[in-house]
Amino acid sequence: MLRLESLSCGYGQMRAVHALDLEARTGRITALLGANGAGKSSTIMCIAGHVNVFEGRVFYKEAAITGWNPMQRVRAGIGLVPEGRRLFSSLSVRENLVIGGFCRAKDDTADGIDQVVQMFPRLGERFHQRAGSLSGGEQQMLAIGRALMSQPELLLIDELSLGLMPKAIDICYAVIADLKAKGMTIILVEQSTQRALEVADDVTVLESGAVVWRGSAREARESTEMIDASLGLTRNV
Amino acid sequence: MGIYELSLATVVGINIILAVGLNLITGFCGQISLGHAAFYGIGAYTAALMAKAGMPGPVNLAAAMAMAGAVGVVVGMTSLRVREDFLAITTMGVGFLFLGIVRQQESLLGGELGISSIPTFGVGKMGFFVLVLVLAALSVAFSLYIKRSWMGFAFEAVADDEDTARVISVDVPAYKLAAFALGTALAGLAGGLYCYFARFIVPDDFGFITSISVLSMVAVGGIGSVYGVIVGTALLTLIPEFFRFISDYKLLVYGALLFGVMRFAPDGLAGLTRLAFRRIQRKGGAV
Repeated sequence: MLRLESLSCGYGQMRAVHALDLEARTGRITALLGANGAGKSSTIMCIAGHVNVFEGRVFYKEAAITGWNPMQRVRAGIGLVPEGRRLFSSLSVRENLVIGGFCRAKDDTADGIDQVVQMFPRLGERFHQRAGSLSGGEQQMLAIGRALMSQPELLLIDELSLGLMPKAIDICYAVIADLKAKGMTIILVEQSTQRALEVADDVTVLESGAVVWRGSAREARESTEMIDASLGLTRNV
Repeated sequence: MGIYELSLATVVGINIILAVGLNLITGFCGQISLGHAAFYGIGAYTAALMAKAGMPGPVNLAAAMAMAGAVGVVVGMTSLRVREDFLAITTMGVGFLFLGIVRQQESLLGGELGISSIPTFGVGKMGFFVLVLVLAALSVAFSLYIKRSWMGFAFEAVADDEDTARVISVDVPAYKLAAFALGTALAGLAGGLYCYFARFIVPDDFGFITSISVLSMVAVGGIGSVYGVIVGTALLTLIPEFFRFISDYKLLVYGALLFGVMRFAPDGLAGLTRLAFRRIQRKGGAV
């Protein structure tokens, strides 16, 4: 579904990711793990088209999309759940969802909202409430729902569990598992290695913008080397 | 209705078009503009020059809208690079730049003396009032349509959090430029109507005081609320007429009003009305 070839990206003159090769296969969840500052979010934001590419190429469904702008990527089927939710706090739940469906056929918006509300009934109860007044868990549900409004085939999720209570994390992960069962391809950036390994199929661990471990989730669960890498300990060994 | 009342009602109508235009830029899309009077002036001078050249009124009004809208897009491009306070200062600068150009350009624009003897629209005072009323109603209807359309949602997204709008791939530059184009075109229309109403325009009609006055109308009515802006505009246009003694202190009064509204009722009259309704509903529910 998505392939990064020797991708280097960053901000201004600073490189956050160096020569990264990554493949996200159709219908699978690829977990991108690593300590703070490893380059996980930069990679996700680069795939979404928000971070400058210095070198390398991005392929989506075999098409080179390196030069595409963020809107073209959303239209092509790449959805983003950004770190920190980034909701429109003064707008209602409904309005946030409508804005999420911008690239969708306008007649489909109501259907899209119905599907999101079926997935997260709590959002239906808070439909006309301001997004800024929702709990952290509800905000994360809304962020996922807003991304789903664009009907993505590839969903990029940045820090799914960050700052959420365990029950809310359970709900969000159940939805992620459900989306995977429906055939969606997901790239999941997560600080919580344990949580990510519960749903992931493939794992890539970054440290200082470079890959330090790669393998299947099953291998990752059994690898102490992977645990060290995800905690950013490999450079100290 | 006497001539005086007719004139007052016509000015209210023109100001509603002007304020609804600023509300599109500042209220809907969240882009602060302190130079709205410049676009009002561009419309007025465009229509005045064309009217004096013998062009028909409807064509002149369309040209006033087009000219102000085109300059509005150029000024809107600055909003792609600067935000909030800096955008406010930049748009204020545009206002002063417009005044500077108009004052210095004597041969074409009449300099300090402005343009006089502008021909009438040719429909009589009552006919002109009806025209202003119809155009004001159309501007309000257009504004309400925009607010409820996809463009309105995009404007709200940009106003709420521009960076987030970018992250979820709303085309922020395009919508900002659209807001400036539409809002300034309405200011141009108001300017065109004003030149036919006054039949004599001078640079000071379109100065910083006018920009602040329009901003006060929008803020007092309720930034983003179309109906609130109509009420705010009517009030702030009529109050100085009924209390002539404050006309020398107009800017002071408007400044105090702006400060008071921002401090105590940031959603303006529209917000206060909503609050009052909610309280009445709650009391009704409690009985």
